[in-house]
Amino acid sequence: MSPYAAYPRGARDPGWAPLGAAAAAIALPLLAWPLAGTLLPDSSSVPSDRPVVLGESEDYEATARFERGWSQLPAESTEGELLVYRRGRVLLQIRIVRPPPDAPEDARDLWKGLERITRATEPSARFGEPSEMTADEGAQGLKGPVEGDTVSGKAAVFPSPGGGFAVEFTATADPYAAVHDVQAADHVMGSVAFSEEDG
Amino acid sequence: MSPSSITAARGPRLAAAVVFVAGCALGGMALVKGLGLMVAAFPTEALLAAVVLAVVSAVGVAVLLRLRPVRPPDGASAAAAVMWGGVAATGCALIANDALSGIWSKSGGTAFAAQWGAALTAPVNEEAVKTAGVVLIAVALPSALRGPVDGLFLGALTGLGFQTVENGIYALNAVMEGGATAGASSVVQSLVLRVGVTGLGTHWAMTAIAGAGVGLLAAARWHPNARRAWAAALAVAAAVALHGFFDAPVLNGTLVGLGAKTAVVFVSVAAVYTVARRSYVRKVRGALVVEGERVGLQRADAVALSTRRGRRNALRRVPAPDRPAAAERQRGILAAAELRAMGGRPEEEEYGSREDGTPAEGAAPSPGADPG
Repeated sequence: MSPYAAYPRGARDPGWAPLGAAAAAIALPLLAWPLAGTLLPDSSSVPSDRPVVLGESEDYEATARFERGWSQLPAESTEGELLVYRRGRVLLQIRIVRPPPDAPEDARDLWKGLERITRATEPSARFGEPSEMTADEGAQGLKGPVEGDTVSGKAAVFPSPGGGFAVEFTATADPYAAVHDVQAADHVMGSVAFSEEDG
Repeated sequence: MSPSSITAARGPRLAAAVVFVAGCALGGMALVKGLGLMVAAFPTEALLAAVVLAVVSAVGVAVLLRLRPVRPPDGASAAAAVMWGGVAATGCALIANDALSGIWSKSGGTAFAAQWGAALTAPVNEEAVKTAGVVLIAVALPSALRGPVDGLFLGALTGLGFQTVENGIYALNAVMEGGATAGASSVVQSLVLRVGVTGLGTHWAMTAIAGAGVGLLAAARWHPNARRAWAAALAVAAAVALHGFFDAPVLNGTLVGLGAKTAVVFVSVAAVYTVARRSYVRKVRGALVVEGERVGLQRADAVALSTRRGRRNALRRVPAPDRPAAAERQRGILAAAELRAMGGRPEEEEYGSREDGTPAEGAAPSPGADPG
């Protein structure tokens, strides 16, 4: 006997209401949030008059300087993990990675790791042989070319002097990117600095 | 027709099945899109996580099947719940979470989003899609979800499926956050934290609570009185609130803090389980007495059928060749009792007695047998 038999013939079937509610509970988040997101600006300008904090550990804070014209993409960024910036046709991703305690964290290992990480979003990406680099304020790291099917650019890794974390840059652009935008990405990489935290 | 089956209108059932399949297809595509490249970039780490999580998930499913009072959930609904949680809910949550997190980042800044984004995003989206899956199963398979106990266990299985895939995603994210210099180590650390430390108090527990609320509504054929409607709403709200508490930026950073959060969620689901189980077992035992009388079973023998051990003991007293038939009769009596306990009216069909009216073998101990 149907448990719904208690309801008079012709009455609305009780199965439709929960089904409608379930469908709405699935559809609303899938439709409403992306729609609401389009109403908000996709990017925010990056200050050019002061260094931007990229990440920190107990001992050190990593910063970089941006020239005028960069904008941050907040929806693609996660504070302390991944910061995404755009200038013209150049996309600059800055990762703050924290290797596990027993993991190697010298620049060569970080370079290989960054190549794998980059392939997780751009499978055609290939990292070339890196060369040692000293940033404007003395940070030591590696910098090298990145090549992919549709984009190319440069990458750089800078381990924190105190260990525990590293700053990794990937700047990619399509063939039509302006030279000064590509150079601006180089400038950001060169401006990375690690300063000892007070206290 | 089995006394336990429920004949519901075909329209909603079919439509629910279509939405279920569509949700799984959408979720599956979202997972492939979101994780495919990551798995390709970190195949060894992905395999390690998959193997560990498959074992943990199998243990979790086995424990949940064993914990359901009276009998385990039927295989089809249990599999559907795990699949919804692991494929549809995780995939849809990937899309919805990404969009809502973006809103917090855009409107409040990345620092605010890092602090509060998870607590303001995951409870809303994830509990909605997980609970929706339990409702879909209830509509598509009405005989599988007839009350709070069914809802609790199908909710728990849905949450477990979700938790398993989410743990896999977190494990691969941990590899990236660790710089991919020691992938296996990152995976192991992530799994130890998410399975070993917080595993007992996350998705399975939250969706179990919400699922119990769905069960309250299903038991009233989706036409609850005010008290029942409030109780169901409270259960779903409690799941969302517990999820928000779990993701909130409080008590984080230490294992003790995470353990405390886990304990709060676990104690909550244990309390819901205790209340639902007690009520359900009492009703089933009462119904078994009624069903037992129909086939000439003594009260104690009928009540003994409410436990797995009681049924095994009764079967042991039946000659081996007759056991399959006796087990079938046990299932019939039990199904009729569960239907009666949930307010249904079992059909007047003979499932446990002989034509002469004597008790069926296996449904009760044979005369003179040790009652055990």
